[in-house]
Amino acid sequence: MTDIPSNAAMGHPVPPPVPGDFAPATPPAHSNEEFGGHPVHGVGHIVPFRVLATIFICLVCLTILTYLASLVNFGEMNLVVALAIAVIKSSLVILYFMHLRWDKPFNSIVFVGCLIFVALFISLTMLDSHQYHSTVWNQQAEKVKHRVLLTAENEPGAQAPTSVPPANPDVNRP
Amino acid sequence: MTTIAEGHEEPGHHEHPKFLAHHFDTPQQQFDSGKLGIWLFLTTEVLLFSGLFCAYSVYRSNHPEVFEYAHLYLNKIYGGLNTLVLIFSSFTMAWAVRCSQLGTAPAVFKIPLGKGRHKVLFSVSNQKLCVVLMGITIVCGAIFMGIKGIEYNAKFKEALYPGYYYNPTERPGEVGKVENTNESPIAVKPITASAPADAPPLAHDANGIAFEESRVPRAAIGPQGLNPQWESTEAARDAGEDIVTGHEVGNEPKNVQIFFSCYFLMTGLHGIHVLVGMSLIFWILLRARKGEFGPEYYSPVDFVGLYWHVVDLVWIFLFPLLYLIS
Repeated sequence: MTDIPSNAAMGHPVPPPVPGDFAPATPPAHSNEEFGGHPVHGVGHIVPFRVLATIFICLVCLTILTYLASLVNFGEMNLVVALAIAVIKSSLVILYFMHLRWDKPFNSIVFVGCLIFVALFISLTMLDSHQYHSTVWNQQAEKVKHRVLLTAENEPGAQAPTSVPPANPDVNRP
Repeated sequence: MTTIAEGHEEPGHHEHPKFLAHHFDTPQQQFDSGKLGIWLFLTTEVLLFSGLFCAYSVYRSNHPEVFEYAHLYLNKIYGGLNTLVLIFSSFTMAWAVRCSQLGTAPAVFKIPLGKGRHKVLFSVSNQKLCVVLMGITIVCGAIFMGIKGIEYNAKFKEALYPGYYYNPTERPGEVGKVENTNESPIAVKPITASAPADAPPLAHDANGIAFEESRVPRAAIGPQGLNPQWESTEAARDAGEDIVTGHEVGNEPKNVQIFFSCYFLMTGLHGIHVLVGMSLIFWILLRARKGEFGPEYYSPVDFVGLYWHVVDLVWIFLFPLLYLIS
């Protein structure tokens, strides 16, 4: 039985390291807390578990809040409140879950640039979508007034007369 | 004088591990390049959805009455439940990324007892925990799709289809009309003499015509026909109290199908993204089981996680815009 020389000693290439078999630059820590929030080794920032859990609880609370806010009548402000809460929630997700906060700034520039284009896209499209609203709605108001007057003249509580043509905003467009 | 390029070291050196593509010098460079690439892809995803959000904005600003009327067909409880499920799955995915970064280091679960002391519950390798967390994420995605399926099914049963096929069963006075259309499998039909013995009790519509009520639970209390308050609202509107909210003074606003076109397109595209995300996470889960990921190479976990978070982001906006209209 002879000694079998190692591959390296024979001049053969040593097999490449098994993927995932990483020797940490620092001695392995025995607690997550020692890694928490600090890039010990490796290529990225590690988000502490405490931060992730806090963000999760915040998101759940905001979800309940947005549901409760929808039950209250703020009038026109309901949409604004709902969207504001959605923006806060998405910011939390982007900054912490997607760790954009600790990323290279260029990634943030890319994403914020995208959001600017979305804003441009929607706002420019909305520019003329209310173009004919005043015309249409004023005519509607006139028609309803007319109809109410006719109903009152005939008999209180009677059915509206069928002579009033059904409103069709498309026809009324200039 | 040597001309050997960097990155082509002799085998046996550990400077160029297997996971490092040959055109990158360092794992850090590879990670940063990939990260920029995935962010660029995510911007295209956001722009894709922004087209639908744009259509939504235009229709809602022009026809607010359609959205105020039709959103009552949706179930807020299902929508809210789905929001919570997706947020939880985002949390487990972000945690899985953290685990893949920590590699083989142990994750210790402990209960703080105060004064700096704590009781260790159990300890598990972060690589294993990563696999478990990704499994939970996939299960959450499946729960989300299941709830969505229940919602879609209820919509189909009530013929709340998009566009031309919108033909709801709850419209009073038009019960017989659905008999002539072949497109919609509608449960409501006029009663004939040969009604089976176990038929449910008959209901009567506004014109006194008897019809068999659907045995399928309704998705929501429909705003008209089922909601006794609706007629008084209509009366108030007829009296000119609130004429600005509707173009059409009548039973139902015109073009309600616009809402369901928006609803099915937006939630449908989002659902496809959920399915794609689940498949991607499953692929990464299989790779993580082999122990491929560690502190220097976890980009696949991270990037798939980013995609999953964008899916969550879209739903964060869809939920208030479709379900919580006031």
